[in-house]
Amino acid sequence: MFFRSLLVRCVVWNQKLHIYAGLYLLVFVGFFAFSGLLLNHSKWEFAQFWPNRRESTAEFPVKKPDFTSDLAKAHDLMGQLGLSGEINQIMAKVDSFEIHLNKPGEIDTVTVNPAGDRATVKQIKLNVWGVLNSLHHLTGVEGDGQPTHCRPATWIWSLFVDATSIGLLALAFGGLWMWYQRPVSRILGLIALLLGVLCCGFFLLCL
Amino acid sequence: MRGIHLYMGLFISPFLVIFAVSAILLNHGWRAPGAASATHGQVAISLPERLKDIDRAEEVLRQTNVVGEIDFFHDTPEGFRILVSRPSSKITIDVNLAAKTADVEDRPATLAEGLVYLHKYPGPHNANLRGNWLFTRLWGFLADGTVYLLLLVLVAGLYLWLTFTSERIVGLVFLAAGGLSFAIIMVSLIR
Repeated sequence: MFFRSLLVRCVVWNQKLHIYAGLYLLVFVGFFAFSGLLLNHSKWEFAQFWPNRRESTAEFPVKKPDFTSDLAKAHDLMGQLGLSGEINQIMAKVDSFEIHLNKPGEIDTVTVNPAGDRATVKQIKLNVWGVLNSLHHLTGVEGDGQPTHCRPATWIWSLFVDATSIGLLALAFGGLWMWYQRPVSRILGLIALLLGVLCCGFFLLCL
Repeated sequence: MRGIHLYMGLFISPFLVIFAVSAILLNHGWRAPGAASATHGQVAISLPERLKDIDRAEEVLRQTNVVGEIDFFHDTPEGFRILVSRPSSKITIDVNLAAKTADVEDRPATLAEGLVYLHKYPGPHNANLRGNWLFTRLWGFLADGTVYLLLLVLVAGLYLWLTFTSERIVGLVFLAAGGLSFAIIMVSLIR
């Protein structure tokens, strides 16, 4: 009796979780689905972003940063120049100090002269399709798996990427349980599920 | 609408599991392990002079019995190198034009690598080359289908929620919270 009532409560709460998680993550799931579609079709004319980029170069006077670490110098310079984004690379050379940073829709390269009093900022701005492209990839880690010096917003975005993925898994498995509770749809549902499993299984395990 | 949400949802659920699990791996900078147990072999090949670029690479694959998506090829001092991949392995073929041989290194991929492969392919890189293998094109078709069906499932789910009068208020709170979260993060990232 206790287990039966517990099961009934679990069924009810699974349905609620499916609805609430689905509604909360609706925009995130829709975003990743659509941006993923664009990534698979980089030749679609309307979604071109790199050929439509806007490049500009400008020089600004800066105050030489009074810090020892390259990262602190980079942050100081970014503050002086009004720039924000993920710092991908800092190159402290003999004849220049270079910072490579980006954020969704913008790529900046800052080069400071040896005297440390002038900075050249090369900026590339992308359109909305470039922003979507960047956001789909944005993780706060580099290609080699090392974390970038990421902003809090990027770290939070990364959390939401995880949340969306875990939410999708909960929606999928919770949905499976809900389907199983409906005997009238079991046969057709099993066919649909098996078709999906066979397709995925073939590509993952047989190729 | 319930049928769409249910049956389309059931069909795409394995695809969503693949994309979700691989997204978590990619989000944490997961890297494929090193070449632990690659197999090596050498095959004698004969390439017609007239063949160039992708045609030449495809002929090498045909003669070496290698199957997969040609990721990239580039010249080497001895001839050229072809990088081939598929969900279960990564293959490197080094062609020596003078010796008329092809050295084939086949490194098996783990399940995690297979998941990440399916997440990333076809993808935007080397767009002119991508889809040279039938199964990459087929997977691309299925990935597109998953997106379209997922969007349909989302719309159907929204409709179903609206018919669920007891969940309207709470559901609206969750929907608004999700939309607001997304908007706030967007502004913070782009600004």
